[in-house]
Amino acid sequence: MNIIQCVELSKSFGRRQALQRVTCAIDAEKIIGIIGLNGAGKSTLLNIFAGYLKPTTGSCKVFNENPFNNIQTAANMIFIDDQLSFSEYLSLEDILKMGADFYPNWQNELAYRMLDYAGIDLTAKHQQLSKGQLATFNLVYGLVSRCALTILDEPMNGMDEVIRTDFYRAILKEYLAFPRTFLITSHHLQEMESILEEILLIDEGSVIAHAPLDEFKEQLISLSGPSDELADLLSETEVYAQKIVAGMTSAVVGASKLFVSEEILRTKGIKVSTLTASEVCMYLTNKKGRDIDAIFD
Amino acid sequence: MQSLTNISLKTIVKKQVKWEAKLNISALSSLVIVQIIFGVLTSSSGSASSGHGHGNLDVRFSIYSLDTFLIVSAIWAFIVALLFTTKAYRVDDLSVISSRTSSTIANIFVMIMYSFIAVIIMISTYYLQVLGILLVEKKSFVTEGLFISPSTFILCFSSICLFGALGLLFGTSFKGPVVIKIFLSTFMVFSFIYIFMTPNIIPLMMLPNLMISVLCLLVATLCFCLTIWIANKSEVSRK
Amino acid sequence: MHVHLDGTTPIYIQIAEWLQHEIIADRLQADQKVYSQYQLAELFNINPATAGKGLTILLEEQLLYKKRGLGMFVTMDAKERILLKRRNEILTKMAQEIVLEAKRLLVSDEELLVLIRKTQEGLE
Repeated sequence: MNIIQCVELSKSFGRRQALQRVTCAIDAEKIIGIIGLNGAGKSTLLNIFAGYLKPTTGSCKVFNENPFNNIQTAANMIFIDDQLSFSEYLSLEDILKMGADFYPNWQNELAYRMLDYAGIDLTAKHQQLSKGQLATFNLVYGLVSRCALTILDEPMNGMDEVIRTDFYRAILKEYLAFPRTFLITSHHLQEMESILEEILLIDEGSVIAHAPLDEFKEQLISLSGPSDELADLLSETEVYAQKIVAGMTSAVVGASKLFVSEEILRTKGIKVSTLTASEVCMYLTNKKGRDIDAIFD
Repeated sequence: MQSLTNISLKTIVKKQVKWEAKLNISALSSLVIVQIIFGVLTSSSGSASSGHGHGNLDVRFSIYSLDTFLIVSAIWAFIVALLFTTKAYRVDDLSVISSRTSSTIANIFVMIMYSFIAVIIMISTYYLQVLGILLVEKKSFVTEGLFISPSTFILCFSSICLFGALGLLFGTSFKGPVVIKIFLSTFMVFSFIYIFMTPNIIPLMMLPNLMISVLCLLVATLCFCLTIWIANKSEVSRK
Repeated sequence: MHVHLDGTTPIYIQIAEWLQHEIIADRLQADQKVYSQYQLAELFNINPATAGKGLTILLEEQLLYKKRGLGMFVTMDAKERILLKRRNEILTKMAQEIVLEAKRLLVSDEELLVLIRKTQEGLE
């Protein structure tokens, strides 16, 4: 079942086009990584899902309703990022009380235990927290509210690495305990890869890939071997990157158009290896022919 | 699929009013302080005239009235309302279940509640002032007019309310779409000019208290409705 | 856990391999209930869908069977099947690599056979 459905969705701010004809559907109860370079349009898309921004053209439905300024969307959605703020008159403990008052699925005891684990003092004010503590508190706030749609925009920014690992696990455990849809953006894809079910890759305002994680990774492979043996193969497929050093070529190619058995490749001395998800993202979003070396030539 | 939460706008508005009224109590204490300062400043002079009688009878009298307090309260209401529409407040609302509609309605209710409390604060400081003068200066007092009639009370409340409504409308219109911004600011400027330039306003002042009150409340309601309408159309900018 | 999830082999394949390993080592025996996808998710800190994919591989190879409402169980001959499959697949692949490498290094067929025999004797 879809909880989000976008059709031909575009959004522009003045002359700048942030999203261009995005069509996508988000299934219920999945953990989905939203990946893209800075300024690709991730935040704009998430802000439209949350009902904060209105599409310029096209449509967006969340829980089968237009999310813009919709109280039902707000009741089932929480948006966590570093802009989350609370009145300066509230201590963290009061903030939890307020959260419990608003969100029907609120887990107050869990919040206390997680904040205690992270060593955050509940008598402090939200404004007094360090960057890492702030991110931790906001993430805890988002997790214990148990909303059907939980949007986490760069939730781990500023957190220590140890805490980050802990909290990816916390997200997973909370998901297992109370399945819901998580949309998570992060610059550290590698760290969160294992808990993701799908990846949605955005580049220059368009969704360029949306697939289960493994399918996403398997769409590209890396080949390396003698240049003369590889030349034929490379002419048949889409090449994303290529490097030739001393008669040996290594290249990243699209896997779907490669119809050669592994055995033949092996006899030709060509090594096949898979790529990590973040490498695939990098190659898919790379402008054709972009190369840092070219600057220095 | 887990069932979705169904919450009515009414429930959310109630919760928002409860928290907002509680969290912004300092706005009321600031009013108390400002009123007391003005009370002290005006107590030596009074707000009106002294005069000379005929012959060798020299009569000096001062009239202490609610006017100054009312003006201070109205300005206070406008500023508080304006503050409610600033970014900090709007972003805070996003941290709990809310929509622009619910937040705006909650703001309006809080503003009305605060206006009511402001009248009580105003009248109390007025009595305090009178009492102070009575004790310190030991002047003889004409106590007539010390009784505040319900119609005066309503007049005070409605005019404070009106200024609160204007503040909300003014603040909100600057977050709305550009067309609304331009339209509203022109409208406001022209109506202010109209009010101060035309002599029509004088007979308006001469109307009985109750009529003015009704007029104030009507305009305030209009402002509230406009505020909700604009807020519903506004996007949220968070950065 | 004893499995280190590396970034290159797909996680669901690693999960399938780990389960096969558990069956070979007799930690999961015939007709014993295997971990659910949620238990595997918790155990390896992975998405339950990925864990489910690993289980599906074993289900398709008939190493596991489903009991409605109860979960998945190890089939009677799962261990034998795995061993047979490994023998076929892995040894064939390794033999291929050895032969190829020997060719590259100009090792004659006889020399290679001698080498293998020697290695066997050394292990016994």
